[in-house]
Amino acid sequence: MNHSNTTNTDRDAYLQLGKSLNEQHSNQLSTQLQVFQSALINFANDHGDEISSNLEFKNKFTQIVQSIGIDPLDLLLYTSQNDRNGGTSNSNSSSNSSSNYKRSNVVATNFGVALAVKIIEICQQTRDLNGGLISLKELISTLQNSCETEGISLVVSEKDIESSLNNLNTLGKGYEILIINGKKWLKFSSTENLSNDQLKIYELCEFMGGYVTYRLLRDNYGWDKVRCKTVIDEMIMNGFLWVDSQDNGEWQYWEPSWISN
Amino acid sequence: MTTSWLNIWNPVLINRSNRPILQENEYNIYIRDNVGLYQGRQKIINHQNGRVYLTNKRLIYFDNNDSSRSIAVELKLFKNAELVAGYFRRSPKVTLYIKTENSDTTNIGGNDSGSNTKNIAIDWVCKICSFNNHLAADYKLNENELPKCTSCGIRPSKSYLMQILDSAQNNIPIREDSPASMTPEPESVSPNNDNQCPKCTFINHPALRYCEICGTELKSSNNNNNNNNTKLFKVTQSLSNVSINSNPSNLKLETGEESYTNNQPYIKLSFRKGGESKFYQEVCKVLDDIKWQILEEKGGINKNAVKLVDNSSTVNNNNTASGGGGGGIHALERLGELQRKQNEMILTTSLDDLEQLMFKYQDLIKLSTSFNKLIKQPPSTTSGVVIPALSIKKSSPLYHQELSRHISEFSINFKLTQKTSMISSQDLFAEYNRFLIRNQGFGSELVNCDDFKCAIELFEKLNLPVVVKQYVNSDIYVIRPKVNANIYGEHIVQYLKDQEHEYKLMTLQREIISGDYENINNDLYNAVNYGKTVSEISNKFNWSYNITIEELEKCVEEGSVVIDHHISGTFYYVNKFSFSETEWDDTKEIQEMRELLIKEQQEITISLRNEYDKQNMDNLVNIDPDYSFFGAGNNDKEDDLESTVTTSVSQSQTQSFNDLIGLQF
Repeated sequence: MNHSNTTNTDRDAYLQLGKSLNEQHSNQLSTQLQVFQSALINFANDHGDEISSNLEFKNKFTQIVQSIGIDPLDLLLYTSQNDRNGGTSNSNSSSNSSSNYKRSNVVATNFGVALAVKIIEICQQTRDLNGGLISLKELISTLQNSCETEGISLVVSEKDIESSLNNLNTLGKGYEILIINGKKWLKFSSTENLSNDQLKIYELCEFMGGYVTYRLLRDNYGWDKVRCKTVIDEMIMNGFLWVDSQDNGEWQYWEPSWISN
Repeated sequence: MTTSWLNIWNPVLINRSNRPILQENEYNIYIRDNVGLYQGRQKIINHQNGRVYLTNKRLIYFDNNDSSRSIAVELKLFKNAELVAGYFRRSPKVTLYIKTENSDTTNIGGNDSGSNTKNIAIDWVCKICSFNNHLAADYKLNENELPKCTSCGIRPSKSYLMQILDSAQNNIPIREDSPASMTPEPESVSPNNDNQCPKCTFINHPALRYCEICGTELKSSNNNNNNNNTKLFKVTQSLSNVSINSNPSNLKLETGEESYTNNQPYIKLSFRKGGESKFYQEVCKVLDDIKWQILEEKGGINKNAVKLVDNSSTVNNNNTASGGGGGGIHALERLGELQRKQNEMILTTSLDDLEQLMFKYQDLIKLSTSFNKLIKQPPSTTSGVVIPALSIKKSSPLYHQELSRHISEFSINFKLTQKTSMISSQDLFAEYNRFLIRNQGFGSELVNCDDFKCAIELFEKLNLPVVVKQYVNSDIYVIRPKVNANIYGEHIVQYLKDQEHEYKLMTLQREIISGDYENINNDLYNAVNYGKTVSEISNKFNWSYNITIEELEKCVEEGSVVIDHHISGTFYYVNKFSFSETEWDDTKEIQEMRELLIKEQQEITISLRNEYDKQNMDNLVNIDPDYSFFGAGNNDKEDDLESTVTTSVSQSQTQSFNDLIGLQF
């Protein structure tokens, strides 16, 4: 009897010891990985020009970066951003030589193009969620979240996004900025213009915390039931609103971008 | 003696986007337009207006007027380059001198053959062992000792050697008093007396200069030197004729004949709109690289080199040695610590500077595999097609043309893979830049929107297999293959028809199997599910949402497709209102499908019935053998009973005889 109790106690002790060893090892490896990622990012910041000029260095560095788990486009976006800020200070401090001007021009172009590529990719991924209408605030937070998982802290303003979108519109229409309640929204992959009624519904969604109901529309705008139903059904059909039928009594209609606001 | 150097030019493989297909490990270095070709002093006809691609292996000329005239030459055939400046109307040129090692070799061969004729050895035969000995031409009888026979070591007599030397000077063969020479020879052999060996009488081949048996020099070699020279000259001329005929590209010169300054062959490239100095620098660099590679292959580098011992590997060995011993949990902890220490060491040493990072490249790749479970790997698209990089600077006027061709090549290989594929300009812009940064790596210059727009507008001008199309309603630009644009509506209508037919067939099948024949027509027309939405049509044809909406609106305007707006989405159907009764007859189609399904059901029923009958036949066959077996068993039992009865009868008779014998009456 005592012997069997001692054996069980020993087995549990060994199991706990094994778990603690594995957890310790995994934690330390994760720490090393994060340190190495941040070191690579700083390395790219310091030696970006040397990497760009040499073809062999460029290829090998890209393989190292991809195998570690960093997207090279995000890294280019980050280094372009830092170079742009650094380039500005350099041009202020020293004389405006032609080489500095040309280099800063190239860096700004790379930043704008990389940002445009990221915007297009995010729009393609989120089209089924929001029906082709996304707020710039959500766009910025999505950009930053995707970069933060790789250890890159990205600072993007609405002005940067607007300039990238203006450049994109030279290739044809498809990405348009709307203003609803003073907030800016990006409409993409949708050829029809939003009607005034639809815009009013989005305005009310913002006031009411993300959703509307028939009663709210009637009380705020004085619409009758047929008008409310027609507009809401059209927006549901196009994917701009989500239906919530679990509330007591009345259905709620939510806008998808409410989550990020 | 004239040889042609036009055979250095080879044809070039060209892809559909009018770019040369590069060989393995070949990449572009420099591209220039408005270039003409020269062979020596003469222009090459029809090769005066084209592009030149300088790669690390070849020099490719690409003609603008006719791409089939494109030719290339290997750079390892050249030894150096020279820049010739322009002068008034003459455009600047770059001269490439061709290596002429072959002509030097022939000259050396000639010299060797000349020197061989002077060294003629004198032969003498030993009287005792008849071995054929050799004597130098400079031998002087009076000053030197008599030579020994190399076989038996006995010296010949002085008078004998004097005869041999005199005959060698006068080129008169020796007539020895031997029995073989006394025999008269037949007359048919006498005209070939020159080929016969003067010593052993072996008749040799006319081309030989020494006897095949005993090695004596033949008379024909001395007497017919002039004839041999004339023969060699004829052979050389025929070889030169062959080289002139071997002009694989059928190139033609301005005045028909090749002429080179200082008799040294070269080619020239005429740069009519600049770029010669940059090209000259790149060519010199490439030629130096090629020479260096050849020297490396011969092993002319690092012969006496001593490899340095790496200190980090020594430290690693010490660590592994210390960690080798021991067991149990403590050893496991130590192994984990060792791995982490090695990781830290690699990471710290690799990020000192760029050279160290490249040196530690392999270690870092191996290290990252240990982090695989901690990293979410991005989905890597393994593309089989390799497109060579666009290595040209933006300041060049050729940039937009090359970018246009590169985008066309990327589109054909990766995006526009179907006949009905289309892609919007923004989507192609994003995909192309993503492709650039994946293949060319971090730090490469991306393409901005203005350059991209200029490039896609050049598609039609450069006659590329893709075309830009604009939708007027929504002002969207679309890139598609060069196909008839009106077939998209037909494809959509056909797709909707196929979906409807499939839906009807499935519904009828379900109805017939359940046995309910009522309300089929009503159920079909009330169904909503067989319409298609925008996302489904986009997935079918590999289109963007914008393109699908545009094409569907066009079909709706034409009247071939109708819309059903519903809260669950917008559904598109084939427009049956425009068809007449005979063209679109649902009743007839339903009857045909019903007959088809009934026939199918009958076939299933017949097969099931046949299977059931087979089973019944098997049951019937099994009954008869059991019955016969049972009957046979009964017969055996009856036989046993009879034998038993016979035995009991015999026993009773013997008892009665014994009783009568004992009685006395």
